[in-house]
Amino acid sequence: MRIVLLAAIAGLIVFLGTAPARAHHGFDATYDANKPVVVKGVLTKVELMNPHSWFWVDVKSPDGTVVNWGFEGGSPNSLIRRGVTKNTLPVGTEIIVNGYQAKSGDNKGVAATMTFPDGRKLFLGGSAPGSEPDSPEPPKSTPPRKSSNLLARPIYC
Amino acid sequence: MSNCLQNLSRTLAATIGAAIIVLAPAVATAQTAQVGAASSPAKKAAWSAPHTPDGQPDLQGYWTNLSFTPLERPAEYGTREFLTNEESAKLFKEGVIHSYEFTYDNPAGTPVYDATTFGLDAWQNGVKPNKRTSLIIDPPNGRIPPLTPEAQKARAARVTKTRVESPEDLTLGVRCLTFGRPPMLPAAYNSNYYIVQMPGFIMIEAEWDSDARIIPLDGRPHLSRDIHRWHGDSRGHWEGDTLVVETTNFRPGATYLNANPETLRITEHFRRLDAYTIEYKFTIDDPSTWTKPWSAIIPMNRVEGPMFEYACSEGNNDIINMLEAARASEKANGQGKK
Repeated sequence: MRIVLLAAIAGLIVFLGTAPARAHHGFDATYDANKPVVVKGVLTKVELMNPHSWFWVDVKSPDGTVVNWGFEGGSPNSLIRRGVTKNTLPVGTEIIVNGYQAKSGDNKGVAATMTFPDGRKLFLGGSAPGSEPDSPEPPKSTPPRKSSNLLARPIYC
Repeated sequence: MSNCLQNLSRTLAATIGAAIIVLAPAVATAQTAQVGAASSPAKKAAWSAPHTPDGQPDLQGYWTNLSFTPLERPAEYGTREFLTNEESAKLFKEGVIHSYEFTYDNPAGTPVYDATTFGLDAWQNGVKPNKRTSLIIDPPNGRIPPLTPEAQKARAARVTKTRVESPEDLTLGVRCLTFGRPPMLPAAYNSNYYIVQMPGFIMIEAEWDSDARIIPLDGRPHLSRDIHRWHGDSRGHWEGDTLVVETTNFRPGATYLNANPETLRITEHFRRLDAYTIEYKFTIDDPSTWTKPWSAIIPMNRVEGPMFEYACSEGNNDIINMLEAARASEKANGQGKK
């Protein structure tokens, strides 16, 4: 099984703690920051549902056995608004997921980033530069895109 | 193993770095454009508030209250209400970059998931710069007033249950029941609202939980004080072009900041500023909880629809995952029910 558990990672970003920012749930009640996982596998199911989307991946171990992992992603409403469907990322696609395992120890977790094997990052909803925050007009929807070249470096391990 | 760690770290750092490179010029432009538009008298004069066919001021459409502005004013600003252009541009840029990565309660400080993968970052969803130093405008220090002695005593005596044994021990939001409201405050994403007006009523649907407030405007009295609702009982009326909504009859356990449901009264003001903005103001008046009323202003910016149903309970794996996590943590710590 191509899964690697890592030690805790140092913080990388500045957290703006004062802005009002609520989400459906916090991280710590479900996932374990001390159990980062990196999984390479083949998509078996894409669930674009609320409160969170879920991506299910078959991961093959060196002895040939296959284990199905599930990863939580973001709310899909913005994606649906942009025309993305559960078939935009087809079953059978090979992806690499960087995430954190559930505290339960089950084969599920939260997906911090998802990339294709060639290193392209999944960008299901279109790239940020396609939007127009500086315009007085409402933001225009961007056409669905499966990927972007924003991150072009592979992350094999 | 160390390679993986480095790779993950580099991946995240590269994402943030790329976002900074790509966005910095655009954000600077955004700030300039916003300030320029606001200071153009010719543009303001050209706009007049639209009305519905039956003569109501027209608030209809899709709006977002996404904001990087803190509810309470950081101490460094004192009683200063507005940022300089430079400060506003800097904070907006930092907010845009931060919104790319969701870090809720993650002790490692690393992203829970990459917002851009799901088109959920604030920049793509209509956030605009706001020159206020805080959403709270009154009291003048921009902070929530002190609790009354009565409320302090009640809160000190409250026993908070920490053991999560059943779904009822999880928050109303996690259980997909409600995210509150009023007041209507921004979340990190899905901070969209759909307003529909008809004679005698206005409907304000929040994207989160597809939660609709249907507010009578026909002058009918409030419900009996014995009836308590998730969103309280709202009644609206027009004062000029401003919609004023008064809400009482809140439900115990479902009030904003644990206000007293018996004494809480929230007054909201909705006013169109221009074709792209509603000014939303709310005032919290709960004399048994806070020593004086307090108010906040949040701009609601027009965005493109539609909104899709937020069917939350059907796919809510989080309850199971949280209960499993609670049991696993207890087991690991040698605790739990015997």
